[in-house]
Amino acid sequence: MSSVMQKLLTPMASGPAEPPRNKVTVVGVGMVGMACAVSVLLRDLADELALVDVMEDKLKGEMMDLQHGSLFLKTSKIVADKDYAVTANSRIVVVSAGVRQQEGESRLNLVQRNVNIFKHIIPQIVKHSPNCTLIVVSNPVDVLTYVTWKLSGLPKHRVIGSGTNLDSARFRFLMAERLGIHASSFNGWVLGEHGDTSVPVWSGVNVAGVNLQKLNPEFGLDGDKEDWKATHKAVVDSAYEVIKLKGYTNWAIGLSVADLTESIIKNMSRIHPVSTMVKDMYGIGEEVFLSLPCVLNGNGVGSVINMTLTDAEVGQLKKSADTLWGIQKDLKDI
Amino acid sequence: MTTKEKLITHVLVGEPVGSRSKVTVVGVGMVGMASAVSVLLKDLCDELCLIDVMEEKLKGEVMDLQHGSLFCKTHKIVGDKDYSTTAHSKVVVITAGARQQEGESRLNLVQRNVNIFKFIIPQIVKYSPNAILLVVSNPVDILTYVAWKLSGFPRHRVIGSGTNLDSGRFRHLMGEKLHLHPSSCHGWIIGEHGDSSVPVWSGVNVAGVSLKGLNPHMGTDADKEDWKHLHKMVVDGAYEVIKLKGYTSWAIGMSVADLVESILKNLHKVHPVSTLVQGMHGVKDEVFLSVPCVLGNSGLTDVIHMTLKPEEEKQLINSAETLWGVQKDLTL
Repeated sequence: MSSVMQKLLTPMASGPAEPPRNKVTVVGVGMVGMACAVSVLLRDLADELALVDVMEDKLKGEMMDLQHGSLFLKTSKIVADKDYAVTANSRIVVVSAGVRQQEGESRLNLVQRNVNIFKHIIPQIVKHSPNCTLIVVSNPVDVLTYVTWKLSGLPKHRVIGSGTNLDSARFRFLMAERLGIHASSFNGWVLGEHGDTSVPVWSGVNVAGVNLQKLNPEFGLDGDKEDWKATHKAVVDSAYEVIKLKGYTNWAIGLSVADLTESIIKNMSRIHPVSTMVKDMYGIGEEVFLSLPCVLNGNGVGSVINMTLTDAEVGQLKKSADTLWGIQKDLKDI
Repeated sequence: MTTKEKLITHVLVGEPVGSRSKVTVVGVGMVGMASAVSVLLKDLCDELCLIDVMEEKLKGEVMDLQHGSLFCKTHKIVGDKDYSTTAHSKVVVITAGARQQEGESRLNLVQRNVNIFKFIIPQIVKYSPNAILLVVSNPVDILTYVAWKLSGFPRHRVIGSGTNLDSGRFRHLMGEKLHLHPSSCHGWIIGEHGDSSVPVWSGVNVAGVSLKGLNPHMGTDADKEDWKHLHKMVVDGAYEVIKLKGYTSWAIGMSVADLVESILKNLHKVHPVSTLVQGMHGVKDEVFLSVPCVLGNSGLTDVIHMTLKPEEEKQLINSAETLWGVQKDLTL
């Protein structure tokens, strides 16, 4: 007796189902991972979404909750498992797994805890999606992007850290607020370490091509009556402040990851400040990852923009590189 | 001259127009924030306002959304415990209140949430007397009635999210069974958002082909393909997700954005949402239940009259009586 489906449908295509073309995997279904997943879904970026975590009930619950919204989405396959086989054939894998900063804890403190988790995760991802591009979000992101690169064996253009994409977004929002304009109309770059020693490139800050440092020579300096430098400090303090108020941050980082995902999946060649391997740039001699303006497309990091930085700014980048290398050289088993 | 003055010359004469499609979300718990983020990512409003009594959590959530402004097209994101921040909202989404614990039915939450509404609703009305209220808090059908009574709004401006989500879950499950996208699977679940919701099997179709016409046992216990189980999975869906992750958020958030979209864009789309059904399908009491309704920028303007089987109407009447049994004892 034929089923409803057999009566309803006359098959045309034969053979196995088409593999996904724009599959995104998110590793870690905590607050950040789910914010990334939901942002990717609501921006219609993927034709398949996979979630992975070790907490099986939570993972299944999150998967079901997303699936129940599938009527309202254009991602027809949403899957989840603790077995990494479910991630096979991903174009992009977002790594948000790991422990998060406690109130008052710096990102650098999290390091060894998260390295141990990555030793389990990264080889499995690469096994099932050898051609993917990895976006690392877990903190401290610059160190963990290095760790990911080492553990994955992937070429450096396919391992990206979310880096200062978020810091720059916060910077542009806070600066734009002072001027009464939209963040996208305020051009400014925060580079280097995602964290306490990020570098705001004051010399490049502009609106409609008008360089703000030329309008106000004190711009970004300590003597500035308008104290524009305080805005960068607010960016550095932002995460700590949101964590203090609501316990964690997730929406902004989720949106920023979707933004990066879009550039890669749609092969856009847009420029984003993300964490990339900067050895041999700006006199940096070690294998560290720091954020520089990168052209993101289907290859991952297609190229890096050679920013014109002041000597002081280059000095700051080198100092960050030294700090990061100081931590990285002592990491075990990578 | 400040940097701003050197850079920018203000040429507008008079006051700025301000926002035209403001959405307020009351309650920044998991459901409220999922609704807020879904509305934001769908570019539905030019101002988003969040309200809650928990001031630090509220401030943190507002900041976190604002930090994502570069990636969004909603220029103004605000939040305060003072309701004056909500002024001139076009749509107010109410998610505030206690949520179901594992195993707890929605009806159990009633009195706790009525008391919260007695505080919230008059304040919303005071600052946005022309808004459309979208009630999400459970038990949604009763609380939509409560919001209607407390607000004094006409019934077309008080809508309950109702079975929009149940129907979404049903269509997802139907899509899984037939290997089709849910938007091509048509099926309506009406009545109570909860344990006694009513799947209208006679209307279930794909491309106009009635599935019950293909399988006359559909929806009955005699059905070898057990389509009836799909409805059971919808009813159990929420409980299961709550058991696994502690609460549900994403699906309801997306379904809220779906309704807000129809309202703000004046789509005249038909959705199963909770409205006053007194006088329809034999319902005698002043209760709210979900039926297919036309949504636009005036609110809920029309109701589609479904052709229901006698058993289906009986189920609606039973739900109505259960709801009225709870409502008549409420102190409003």
